[in-house]
Amino acid sequence: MFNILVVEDNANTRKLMTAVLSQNNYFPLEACDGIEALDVLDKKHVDLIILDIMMPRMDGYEFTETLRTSGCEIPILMVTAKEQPADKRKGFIIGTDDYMVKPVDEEEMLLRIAALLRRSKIVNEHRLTIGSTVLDYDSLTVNQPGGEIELPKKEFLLLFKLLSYQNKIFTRRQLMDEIWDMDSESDERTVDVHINRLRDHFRNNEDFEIVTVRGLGYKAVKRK
Amino acid sequence: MKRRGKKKPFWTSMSLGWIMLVFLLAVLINAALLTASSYLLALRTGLVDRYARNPVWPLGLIVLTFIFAVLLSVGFGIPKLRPIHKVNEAMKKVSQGDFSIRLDESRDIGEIHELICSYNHMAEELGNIEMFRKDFINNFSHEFKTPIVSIRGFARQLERDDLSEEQRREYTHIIAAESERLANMSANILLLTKLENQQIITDKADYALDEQLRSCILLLEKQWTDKEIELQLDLDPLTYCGNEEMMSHVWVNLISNAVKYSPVGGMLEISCMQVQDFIVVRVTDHGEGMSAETQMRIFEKFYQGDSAHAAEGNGLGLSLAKRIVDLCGGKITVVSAPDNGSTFSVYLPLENKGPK
Repeated sequence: MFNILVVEDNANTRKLMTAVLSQNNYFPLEACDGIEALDVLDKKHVDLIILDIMMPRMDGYEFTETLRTSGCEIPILMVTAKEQPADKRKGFIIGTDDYMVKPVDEEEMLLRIAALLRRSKIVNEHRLTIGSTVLDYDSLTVNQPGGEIELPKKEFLLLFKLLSYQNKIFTRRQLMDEIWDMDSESDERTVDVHINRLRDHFRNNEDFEIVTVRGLGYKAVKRK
Repeated sequence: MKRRGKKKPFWTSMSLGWIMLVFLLAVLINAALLTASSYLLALRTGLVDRYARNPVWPLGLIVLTFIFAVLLSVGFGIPKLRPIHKVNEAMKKVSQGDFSIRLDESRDIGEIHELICSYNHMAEELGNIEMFRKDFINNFSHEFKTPIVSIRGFARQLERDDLSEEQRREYTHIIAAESERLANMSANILLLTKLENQQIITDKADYALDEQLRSCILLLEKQWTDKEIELQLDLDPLTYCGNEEMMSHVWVNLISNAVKYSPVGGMLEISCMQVQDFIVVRVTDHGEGMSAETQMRIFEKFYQGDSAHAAEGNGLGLSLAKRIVDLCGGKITVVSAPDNGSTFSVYLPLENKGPK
């Protein structure tokens, strides 16, 4: 049962969000500005924060900055009416994990919350479990029913990334930018080579497979 | 901007000030010459002796000179000033919102002529802008009021106790759908207004256009997977210098339209390539297509050709796309036929000189 703190000064918006969260098996906590939110964080365990930006007393940016500089890594989802690219950039630079523009689609918000919680768990535990397969970040090993495999770093990171965001399509460029250095000599075909090697390793794995989406890129999906 | 064309006689473009100065100089020189020659003549013919004694003659001549001078300057000056008065009157009307007055361009020359032509041109442009503005406001308030009528009306209905379960569901669904529409529309209107006031694109940078197209496609993944659309992509690696955020609006618009009007299981072709000095991006769907009339009006604000899909959109997407492409100095075209799908093509100049 996850505790989710909703920081929002408009009472109706807060009411709506807490209703949606309760209906989806989350436990909502409320605060009407940054200062109240800090109070709540002192007293209760919070797994994720939904944060408005424009609030009196302490706004969303200030709150995020305060949290991050004190070392608090709780995932933050900014939900705000500010939609300019400059506002988004500022949010991410200050330390938010995701950003949605009002009015939000409730379904999308729930999906993003789930993804953030999942990644947070992975980050906290340094391991990723899918079915009976476990990826261990610290040792770069993949533990599957057939045995344990240690992978070269780039291959492991590639697999870890794809499985962290199951079903999400990544373009070759996106994978390159994340896993290889920006100014390395490799080009996008290197990604293809590594994907093929991964496919070789895990051809018989029953939990997942890597799918090619023609023209776009790759994604990791659960095997039925 | 200088107009190049037939060589016009030099006096039509001479400054009024210079004309005055030249005129004054000519008058003075002539006066001096006349005085000198008259005196010499009078001297030669002995007139000086005869008439100089009598003070009436010199005095009379002086008075005559003055009268001629006054008549000449009034005769020249007043006609020149009259058109300036006319322009002044017309400008006053413009400042009160009346753009209808046009002045006669055929009679004057030089700077006065240019003044009159400029005024007429300005009044015409202002008149056009006013017409667009009125149209836009009318359309806009109608487009906003319509969903609000539904939302308010059905919300009030839901307060009643005597509705059937089915009615309750239906009314609630309508409120949700119309609110969604309003939300989309307000975002688009804001962007469109911002762009209308811009003349150039700011924040330009080099970026990979093919990768941007892939990102936009992925953004709409839910829409095209829900409809089981088959994607055929032919994206050449291309670098474009522009505002990435603005351009993404164009692509997302075109692609989401193509998905919307495609049949379930249909095919969507998206390509980008370089043709001479242009980047050409094409989005082709094999859906319903458009009639010739719809094709002509499709880039108008609030225009929606297809009444079946009208509830989903707000008619602003393509106006937005066109405005952005225009600001980039590019062009957007459509080829379509009923039941034969549509192809939207965007041409972007690589040099990026800006709007024409």
